[in-house]
Amino acid sequence: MPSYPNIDLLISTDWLAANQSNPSVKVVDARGAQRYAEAHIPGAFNLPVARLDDPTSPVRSMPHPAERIAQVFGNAGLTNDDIIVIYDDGPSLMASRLFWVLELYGHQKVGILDGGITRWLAENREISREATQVQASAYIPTLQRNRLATREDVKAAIESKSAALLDVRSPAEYSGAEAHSARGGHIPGAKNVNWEQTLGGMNIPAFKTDKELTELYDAVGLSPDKTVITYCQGGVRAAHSYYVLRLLGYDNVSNYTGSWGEWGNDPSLPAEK
Amino acid sequence: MAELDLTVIPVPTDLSIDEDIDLRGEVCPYTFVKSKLQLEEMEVGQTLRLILDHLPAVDNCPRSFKNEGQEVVGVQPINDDEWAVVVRKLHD
Repeated sequence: MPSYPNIDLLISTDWLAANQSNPSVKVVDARGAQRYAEAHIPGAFNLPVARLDDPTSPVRSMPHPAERIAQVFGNAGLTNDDIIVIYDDGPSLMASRLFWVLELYGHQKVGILDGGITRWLAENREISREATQVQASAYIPTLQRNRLATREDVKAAIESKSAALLDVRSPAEYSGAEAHSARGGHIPGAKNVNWEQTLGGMNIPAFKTDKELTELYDAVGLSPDKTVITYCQGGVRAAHSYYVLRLLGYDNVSNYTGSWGEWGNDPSLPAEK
Repeated sequence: MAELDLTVIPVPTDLSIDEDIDLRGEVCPYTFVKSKLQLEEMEVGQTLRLILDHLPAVDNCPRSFKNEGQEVVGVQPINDDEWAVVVRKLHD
């Protein structure tokens, strides 16, 4: 496994296999219920990321408020001191979204399983089809406001140049050639690094190496000392790049979860093509 | 405040649905990517019903299909967590 500055955020299958019986290690399957039912890592609790968004928020991709998150994480049997290992079966998009929500609410010990269940299966490790039953626990979320960027935060960052904006959509979305909102384009000043450029691996999902990723972001003027706001269309790909930057040792990263789904549909906000 | 595109468009009760795609558990961008691929395999005039539970996708998918010149016939909640989006293919 390649080394990264924040390597604790990437959990190896060997480590998980060796620590599965530790009651403080909680494994969370971030996929939908159907795929979880087909096969999952023994002991994993199913917490589909689609259930993390607040349906009452005008920003469609806004996570639940703290009081509801306390219920969601509590019902998953999670406690604040747990070592949480998240996985999915793709390039960790879903896992990254849950990772971001956990960091948003102050969880300290959380990582993503390297290669997800795809690697786990390729290594012929044990699987389960029985839904994991857990005892509800008390989880106390503490909102880390610096992990979330709102539309107002982005406007302020544009004016003050206090943060770099990172658009992680495809080049066609960035240029406006492809639009999933009322208008195409990007937030003024944003740099474009497509989230897919961070992916390595062939049959088993992986991230590019530390060196490759550093070069990728260095090319658009980013470095770990910078404050970065990631965004995409609906805050999921942005959470993936958020995770990659955290893995690279960036401390001051936030996800503009409203993303182009909010910005591109509001004609009062400035846009570039 | 941004104008959201979550206006309910009731799916006509007599509408014939040609194909379904169950996207529960999927998140953007795969909700649109997978439904677009399925629509590409269908005939002009046919209807595809997307079942979604990722709220941003309920905004983004109808907008994306409209931007591609397809017809969004309906956007309707199924229950507290799930939505149906029906798209009619207008062109290849």
